[in-house]
Amino acid sequence: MELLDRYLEAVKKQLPWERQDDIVAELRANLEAQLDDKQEELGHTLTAEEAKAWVGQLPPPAIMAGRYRRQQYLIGPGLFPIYWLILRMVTFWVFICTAIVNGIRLFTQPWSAAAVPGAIVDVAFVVLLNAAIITVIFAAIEYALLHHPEWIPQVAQQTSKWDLNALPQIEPATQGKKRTRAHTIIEAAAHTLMLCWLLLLPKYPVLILGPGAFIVYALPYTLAPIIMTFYWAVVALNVVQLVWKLVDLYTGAWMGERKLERFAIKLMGIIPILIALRAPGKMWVVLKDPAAEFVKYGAQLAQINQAIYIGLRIVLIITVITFALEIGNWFLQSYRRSLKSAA
Amino acid sequence: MGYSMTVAENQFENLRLELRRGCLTLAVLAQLKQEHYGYTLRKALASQGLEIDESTLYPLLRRLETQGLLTSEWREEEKRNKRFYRLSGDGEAIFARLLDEWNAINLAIGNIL
Repeated sequence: MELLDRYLEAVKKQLPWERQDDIVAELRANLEAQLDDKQEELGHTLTAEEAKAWVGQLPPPAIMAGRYRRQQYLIGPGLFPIYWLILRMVTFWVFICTAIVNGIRLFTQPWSAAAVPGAIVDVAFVVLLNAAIITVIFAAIEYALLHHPEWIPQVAQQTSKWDLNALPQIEPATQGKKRTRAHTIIEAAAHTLMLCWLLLLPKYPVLILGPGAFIVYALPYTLAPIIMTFYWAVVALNVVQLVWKLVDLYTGAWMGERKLERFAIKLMGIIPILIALRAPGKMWVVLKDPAAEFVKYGAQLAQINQAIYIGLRIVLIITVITFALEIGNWFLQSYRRSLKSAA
Repeated sequence: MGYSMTVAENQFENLRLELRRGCLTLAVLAQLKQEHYGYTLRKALASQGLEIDESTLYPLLRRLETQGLLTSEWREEEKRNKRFYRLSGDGEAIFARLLDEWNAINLAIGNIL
């Protein structure tokens, strides 16, 4: 029957090549016996329509052929949990490091329209490449465990054995640990002291530079006006933080998680950095007497300001990324808590 | 509502297939204490109440042969070359052990139910 021949040909194309003819011969014998029985039951040779219906009820050729292949895993159930753990860990840290590097590159190189998409593609490529390498390594280990366990005896033993002594200790519960009022008062007091120290800095730079302040006085450089703007922004941020702490103390909100307060303070912490980055002419350090000293110290001054610029950008990127990670982590924990309470 | 039923049906189908998978090997080994070729084996199992798809049974025979549990030979019968299977020596030993295991599981399930 032509349809049966075409069916067997379709199956043959997807069989392991070294066993194609043998399998198809056996399959043909079985299916023709089945066909004979069908025709005997009907009392006549199948018509074209009946033949179509009969062949149509056979399993799809791909399924029929696929079941003749050996059952195999790329990474079997024994190794998969370890593979998954390592894949998640490595992919996460590769993503973080690549994102930071590309972020720094974005901010330190001249801007172009293709810069951001290019950075995203770079990060995605490195992450996928690492994931592919880890998958290939574990697939190779799986193959060796299955076919040549003598190549990796330590791994073959480790997959079935585990060490009681390697079990982690029980960590004391930290979640839900309530803050004490005394702790909050001490925090507010320490913050007040820090604010006082901040306010004294302009008049007494020795409080931050120590004896080095006298060396700094002798240098031909001085701070640009933008530094004072930056300074007052930092002071304002600390005042806001202190006031918030005092309000919490008064209202009793100090007992709660205060996640919103932490996120708000972190977000506001970016403002002084942004103010500093808007320095006119990107100058944070200027010469005390530009007319007299520019020739001698001009190049050095440019290097100092360039270094400050790069440093500020790096601080901004790290601050933004850590803030984003904290927000992301908080959303993830909230989502998991909602799933648990729903269950 | 329709989506939920499909998910439930899929779930049942997956569990049903898992349940059958282990039993099929035992049934095939038991039936091959007598010699059969693919189609007659399928008919014999169906007559005992165990329907098996062609795409499940015929590859299973090959796999069991590769594992050394069956032997096979090509023979001409009714003007057609057919591949006849029967249990090998190893197959008989494994079958006996599997049968003991099956009886133990059957008893335990009976107690639980």
